[in-house]
Amino acid sequence: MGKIGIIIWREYITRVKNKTFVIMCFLLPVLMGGMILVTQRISEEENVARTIVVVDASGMPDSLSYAHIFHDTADLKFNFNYIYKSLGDVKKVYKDSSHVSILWIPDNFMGGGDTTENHSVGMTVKLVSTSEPGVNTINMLESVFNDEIQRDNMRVNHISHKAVDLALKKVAVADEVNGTTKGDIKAMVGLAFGFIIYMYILMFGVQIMRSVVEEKMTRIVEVIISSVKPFQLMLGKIIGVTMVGITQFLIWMILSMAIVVPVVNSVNADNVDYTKAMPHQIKNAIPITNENSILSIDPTEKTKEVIATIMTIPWGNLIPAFLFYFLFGYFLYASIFAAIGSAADVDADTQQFTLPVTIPLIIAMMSCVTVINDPNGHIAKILSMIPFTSPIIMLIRIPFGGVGIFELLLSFAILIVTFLAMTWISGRIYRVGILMYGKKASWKEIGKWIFYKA
Amino acid sequence: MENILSAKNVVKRFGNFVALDDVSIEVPTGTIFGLLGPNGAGKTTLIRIINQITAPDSGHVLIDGRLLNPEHVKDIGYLPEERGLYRKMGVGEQAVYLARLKGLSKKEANARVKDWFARFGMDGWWKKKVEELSKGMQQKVQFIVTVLHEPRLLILDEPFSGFDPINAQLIKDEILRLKNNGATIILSTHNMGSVEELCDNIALINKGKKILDGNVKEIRRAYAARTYDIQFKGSMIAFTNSMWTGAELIEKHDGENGMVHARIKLLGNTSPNLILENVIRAGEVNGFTEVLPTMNDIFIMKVQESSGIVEKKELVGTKSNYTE
Repeated sequence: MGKIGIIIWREYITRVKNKTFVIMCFLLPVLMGGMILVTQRISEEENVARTIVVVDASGMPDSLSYAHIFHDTADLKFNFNYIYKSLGDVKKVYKDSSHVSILWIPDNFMGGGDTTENHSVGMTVKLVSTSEPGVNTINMLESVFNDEIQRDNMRVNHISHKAVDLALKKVAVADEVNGTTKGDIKAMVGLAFGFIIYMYILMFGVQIMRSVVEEKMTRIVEVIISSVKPFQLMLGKIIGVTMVGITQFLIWMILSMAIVVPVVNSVNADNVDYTKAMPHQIKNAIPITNENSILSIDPTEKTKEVIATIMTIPWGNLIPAFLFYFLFGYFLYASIFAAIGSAADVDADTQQFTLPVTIPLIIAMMSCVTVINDPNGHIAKILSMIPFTSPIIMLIRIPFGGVGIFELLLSFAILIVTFLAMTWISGRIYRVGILMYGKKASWKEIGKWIFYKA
Repeated sequence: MENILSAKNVVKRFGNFVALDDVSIEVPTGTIFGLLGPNGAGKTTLIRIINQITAPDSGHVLIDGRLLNPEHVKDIGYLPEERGLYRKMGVGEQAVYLARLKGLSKKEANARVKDWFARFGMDGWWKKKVEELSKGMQQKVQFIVTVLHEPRLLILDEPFSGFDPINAQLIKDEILRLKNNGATIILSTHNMGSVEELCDNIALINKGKKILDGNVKEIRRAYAARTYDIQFKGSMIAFTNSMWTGAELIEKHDGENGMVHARIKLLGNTSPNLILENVIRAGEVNGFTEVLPTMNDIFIMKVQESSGIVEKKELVGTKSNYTE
């Protein structure tokens, strides 16, 4: 094993044997599993249907009463048994029941039975519950009311039923790009890849920096570089820490499968199956209008659509691009972090220098929304060329298609050139910095170090 | 005697600052060489150049007559003044790691670390972390790490600082043992006592320039101020009269049984023999010894002189009138 190999091995093994590493490896998947379990339980809880007891005090005749515009859905059951009782009596009946709400239509609602102009027109109904009914329930009730009132108004003004139905039709925008739909799934895929790189750079870049500072602070660096070249030490350290990161991600992936999958399965086993649970969520998320809206789409059709979308992502470009951007983007930042560590005298000094380095990363993460909205716009194109942001932005763009091979190769080339230049510069800073004790370096000074003779 | 190390006309600049200005040193094989100088003189820079941590701007360094190259890493052991170890790493593991970087195989490194731990009474330390050790214990580990690969040239920067007298003696004995086994040692220290005790040759550097070098004994003789200590019994008046204009009394104090200890300085061309003849007539002489300047005195004088702090001062009997 060469000297770099010995260094890589030390950097790797001391970290992997560290308690923090072991804890992080196991804790994160357990936490994830736990979170999934908890959210599953919570949504399960929500899925218990709520009973709405309708009490109508408006005094309208049965044929006109708004009480009858409601129909049972999967989540809401309507009870009309107490429709003409007083609110107080009904409250007494249900005072101990959760999952029950009383929908009270007051006497002046929509002018009540009185059609004279001077009667005040109430536009508020009350929903009385012992437990929080949830936003979705209220949205649903409001939307049914509003819909019905609109219809009534139009009918009163002699607009035909057909015209009313037509007027109330809702439009759904189906996003279709290059013959495919569902941009949000693509955005998720791109974001996930970009985010992995972002996290990785921050987590392990900072580890490299701290490790350089430690070697400098304990002065052991002088002993080591009397045996190896500073650049070998820097490189060994970067590679060693990279391997630790990869190990950690692999362990997370394996453990996630081992923990998360059984958890999800167990939840699904004693609940309903997963595909049935999903449309509920989707239903809840959309204000319900009528039965003939989006939610009538067959769940299996939905899944098929998702799979179809995933299949249209250019994986052949995405995976190699991810690996490329992951390695070079990470190495680019890692060498900068190493240089920063070498310029600092104590841990606290590093902050002054880390901020400017993390700014491009933060800009990249903040631009995500812009890039997703316009994956081939100017901002997206520029950011996917700048080597400090391209590893994240380009990965978000690729799933949408439209990134030409020339554009991709140009971005690769810029990143490689920058990586080489930056590593060279960082190596020179590092070499001088690790031997400069007792003073906090200024930017100007660091600039000078680059040109010192070895 | 051939030289294991020779640095020739070494120049090193950092920006506008000249850290080493045309410095040349010769270190004979199998000797202990003192590299002396005040703080910031350029010692550490020279040591780093020898260790190939940095390269000189001009000039060159030879090891056994061959230009310094990466092959020499395994021949050199370096204990820096600012020394440290990985705080969270086991002591044994750490020593083996550093030895492997010097080119030892894993197996060999393991065996040697065990040997040294046994010799220094450090059995059972293998798994201890550095942060659990006292400072003195850490320094023992550092010393072992430096010598583990049995380098032919050892560079020790302030090796005794921080040690208690017992451990300092342990290190001193190890240094002498290594020397007897044929190693050459470059000792950089401010402890002039240990220079007189251990060093064969020295070089004194100030502000990047070498201002003095040579054999320690010869240097001390050369800088001897023709000063002698006399112990005698008899009349003090007769004693001072006997010296007449040949010497002056610098100081005296009375000892037991009428014994007087006097320090005199010879004047002009007076020979010690002449003074001794006269003094013997004035009383009973029990001792007559030449007083050599300490390395400490020489250090201070030379550094001040080269810094222009004081004019050339008469600690010095000049080389020309010195006779062996």
